[in-house]
Amino acid sequence: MDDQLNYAPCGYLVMQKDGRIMEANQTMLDMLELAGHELADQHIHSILTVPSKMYYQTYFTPLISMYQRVNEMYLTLRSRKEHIPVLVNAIEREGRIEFVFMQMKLRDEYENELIWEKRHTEWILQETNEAYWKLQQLMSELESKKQELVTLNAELQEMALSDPLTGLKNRRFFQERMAAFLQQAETEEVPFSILLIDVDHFKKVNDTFGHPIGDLVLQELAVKLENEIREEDVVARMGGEEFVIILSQTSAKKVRMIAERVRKNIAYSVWAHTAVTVSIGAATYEKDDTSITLLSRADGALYQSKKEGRNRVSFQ
Amino acid sequence: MEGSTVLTRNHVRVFGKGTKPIVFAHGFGCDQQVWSEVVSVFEKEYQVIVFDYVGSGKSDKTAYSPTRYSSLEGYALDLLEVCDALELEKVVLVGHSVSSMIGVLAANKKAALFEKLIMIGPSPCYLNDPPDYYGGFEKEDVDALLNMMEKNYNGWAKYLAPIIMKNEERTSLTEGFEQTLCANDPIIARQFAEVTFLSDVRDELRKVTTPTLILQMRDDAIAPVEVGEYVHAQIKNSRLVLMQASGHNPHMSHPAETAACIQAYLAK
Repeated sequence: MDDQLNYAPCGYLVMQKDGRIMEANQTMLDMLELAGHELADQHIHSILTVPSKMYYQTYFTPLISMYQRVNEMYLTLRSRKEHIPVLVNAIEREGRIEFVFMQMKLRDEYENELIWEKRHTEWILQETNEAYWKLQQLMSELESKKQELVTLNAELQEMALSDPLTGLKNRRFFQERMAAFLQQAETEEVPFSILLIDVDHFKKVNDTFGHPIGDLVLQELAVKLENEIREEDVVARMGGEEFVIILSQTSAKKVRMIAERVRKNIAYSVWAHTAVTVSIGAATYEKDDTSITLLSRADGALYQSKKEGRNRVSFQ
Repeated sequence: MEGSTVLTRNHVRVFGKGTKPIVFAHGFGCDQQVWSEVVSVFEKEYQVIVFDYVGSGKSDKTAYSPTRYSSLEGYALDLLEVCDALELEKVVLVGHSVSSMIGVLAANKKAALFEKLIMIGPSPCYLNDPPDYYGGFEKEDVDALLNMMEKNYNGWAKYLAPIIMKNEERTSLTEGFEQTLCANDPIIARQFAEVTFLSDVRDELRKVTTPTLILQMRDDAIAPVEVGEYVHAQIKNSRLVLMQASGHNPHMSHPAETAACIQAYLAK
């Protein structure tokens, strides 16, 4: 080997294809802190670290055999004292493999730092992703809880304004609507009427058939009353066997007719358990009416219907 | 999965004048090209089948799933699916390195499919498990190997890209797809390395009933002689041959000897 190659500023090594080292230049020996005779005839494995041996067998051997050339492969060599990171170029020529080894301690440290930073960044990204995912979970939980509350609220409101026995609206709902109707009648001069409806001889029904049947009769009546009204009207159960209907945009002239129709339809309808009739007291909004005055006229009319023999309509 | 799809997915090539199937399965870090010299010997008398595992060589890398290939079982499925797609029977399987163990898993799943297993440099467990088992490596060695792989990848510093991409969906679809494709290779290779070098299928060896040839090399840095002897002791119907070849890749460094050993065994 001539001096130029022997002392070139990079390690140079020649080996047989079976991995046996034939010769190495002085720079290579210095790098490994070995004397020339210590390397001759050794297997290339003897200067590689364990992971490098694995890497060498996995990648170097197939590559050199396929392409007769390997460029810029990172490996680590094993000297007496330490591990030396090197960059390797190799070619296969005349049945031998020639290597050049370039030591890269500083660059290796720099690359290690880069790898560490990369790992760290990946870790942070993963943490961020996980945190984001958890946040999304929480948000969707919150959203579904909110939805539950809205549904629950609607149910509560429905319960507060409904009569549990008949499913009709209750007195409270009626009062709210009555107030709205009064206000509209006052400001826009739209007339409306109410019908107070009471089941005739309901006590007798309860006494004869028992309260459960009495309840069923009330439920049946509720259905029949609902069939009598339009969408814009209101029907509610005031309590006991007393019901009320608000007839929207209905004048005094029309209310008698409608009340009479309701009474008749109830009286002539078919009943599942026992037939009942109703007495009706009708009243129409007049200027300056309040809920109390209007209801009391309807009540008076109902009283009159009862007094005159029931199953009839009176108007006040 | 459709047969034709499997054949494309695993870049399966079938050739040779014979009818008896011989399947060559490559090891970690390479692809079917490594068989080019050995297979020529078998073309006359056999139907030769070579393929790439999903994630290697010219396989369809979009078929790669980190879950399926999180253990050697996923690779064994590839092998079985290739055999199914070609409707092979009485297969001679030649597996290099980790493919020996992939072959063990496949044979234990479907013993009837395989007539003979030929293992080149097998190791059921690369890590030492003292006091009774010597695999040759410590966990630190495997970690260092993974680091070395990372440093050797062309443009390794760039392959953080796909992870960032997940968060910022700015890149157009095709661009993103291509990036993922390129960037996936090192990630696949890394996972394959982890699966390979951290695998432990020692318990599977006793279950093997297929006649098995173990080709053991001298000076094999990856599968030392002790490991070859262990495999031989565990598989009842096995034969251990110590080759003249050294190194872990006799099918490339000593193709003639490798082919001759296989032929001698098959002739029996």
